[in-house]
Amino acid sequence: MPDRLAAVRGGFLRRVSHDADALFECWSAKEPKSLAVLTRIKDISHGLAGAAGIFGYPHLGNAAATVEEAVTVRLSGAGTRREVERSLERLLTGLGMSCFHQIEHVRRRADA
Amino acid sequence: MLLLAAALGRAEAQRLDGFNVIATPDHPFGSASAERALVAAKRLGATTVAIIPFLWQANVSSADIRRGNDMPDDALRQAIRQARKLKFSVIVKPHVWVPDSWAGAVQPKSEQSWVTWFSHYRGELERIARIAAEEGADGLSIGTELAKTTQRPEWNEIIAATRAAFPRTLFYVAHNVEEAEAVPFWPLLDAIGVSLYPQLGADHDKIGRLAVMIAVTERLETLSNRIGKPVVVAEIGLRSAKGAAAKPWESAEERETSVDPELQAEVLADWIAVLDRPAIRGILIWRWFTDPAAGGRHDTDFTVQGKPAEDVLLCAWTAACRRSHLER
Repeated sequence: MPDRLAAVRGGFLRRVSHDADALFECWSAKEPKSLAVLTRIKDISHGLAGAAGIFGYPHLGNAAATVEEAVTVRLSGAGTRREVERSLERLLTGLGMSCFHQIEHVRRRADA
Repeated sequence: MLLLAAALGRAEAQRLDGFNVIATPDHPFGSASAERALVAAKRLGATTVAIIPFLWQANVSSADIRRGNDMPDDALRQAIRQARKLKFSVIVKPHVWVPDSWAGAVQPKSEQSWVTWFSHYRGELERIARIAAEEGADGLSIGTELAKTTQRPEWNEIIAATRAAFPRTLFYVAHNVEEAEAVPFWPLLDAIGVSLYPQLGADHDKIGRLAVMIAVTERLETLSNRIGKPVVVAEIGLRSAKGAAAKPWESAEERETSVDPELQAEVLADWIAVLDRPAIRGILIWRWFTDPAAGGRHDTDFTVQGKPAEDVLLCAWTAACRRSHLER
């Protein structure tokens, strides 16, 4: 059972790296404040927040939920671009750390 | 066992997550092999099974709807008993089968045909309701995906008659969110049921499918708030096959293609993550067979048995992943 869970969590982290790329791409876009880009960031963060909870990564889930909240506030006309930016930076940092450490960890378990 | 009504009525109560279970010819409900298959579902964390007696009519305009021969009364009783013995919450969910078509197209042509169709349907539903009540089923769907019938006034009487026969949770299963928003009789029922097979785009377009899933979920939440009833996603899934995200409802008979069990697992993970909202009280995956050897990595059916999607459900429905302390 632990091997099965390690595999499914590893699969989640591989997918998360695509989410990280997509989020980075969104934030680096020419019009990062546009409605379409913000909605895209919100959708990715929403999916990530839920999935991270399912697969046992609460810190990632919380960071993603914070981004979703910041974008929601921004889309409502309140909040600041900087708040979205900060939350996104925290999430992207968390994703990078988490992916790096966890993929290594899963690999070590598989090798063992 | 917690009654379904209680589970639906309290936010903190047990969720209704599990499978639509289909009996295969060699593994009828009540058999030892069916028990093995149900125990395997239980191990994944499933708390609920939907049992599906089929009604049948020759074509979409026929008024002559009758019980199919796939699940006679004794078999239905056996199915409910076996699932209850294993401590599942049991939902009985009749489907209408129309050769070369589907339930959503059922539409008798004349007023007289409508009257006859509803009279026959009511007779069959009441019979099923009595069996479900006698065997202790927790919930009963009054119909599944009968989209062209739901504006008819006859449903009010059918609901009253079914309530008289079945004292526990009653719901209907809309074909999609659009039909769910148009159903007029939700206030007479205990929960909003819905099937979810919207087009999710190209297999690799995760962001596109998330946008669809979020939009659908937000509409269901709005509906739930407006009606004041919880939502149960009574059917959701896709084949473990390439191209399945574009047409999640498509069966293996409709299109031959190569396997893609990872796609099925990823899409179900996304759905479960997005549907994790207070208004949504349960998700029943389509589907799980009573054959314990069904599915497997080379199978392209909807079943998740023996496929990576099983592990996604295990993570979602149990604390197994959250307990595994792998996070650094």
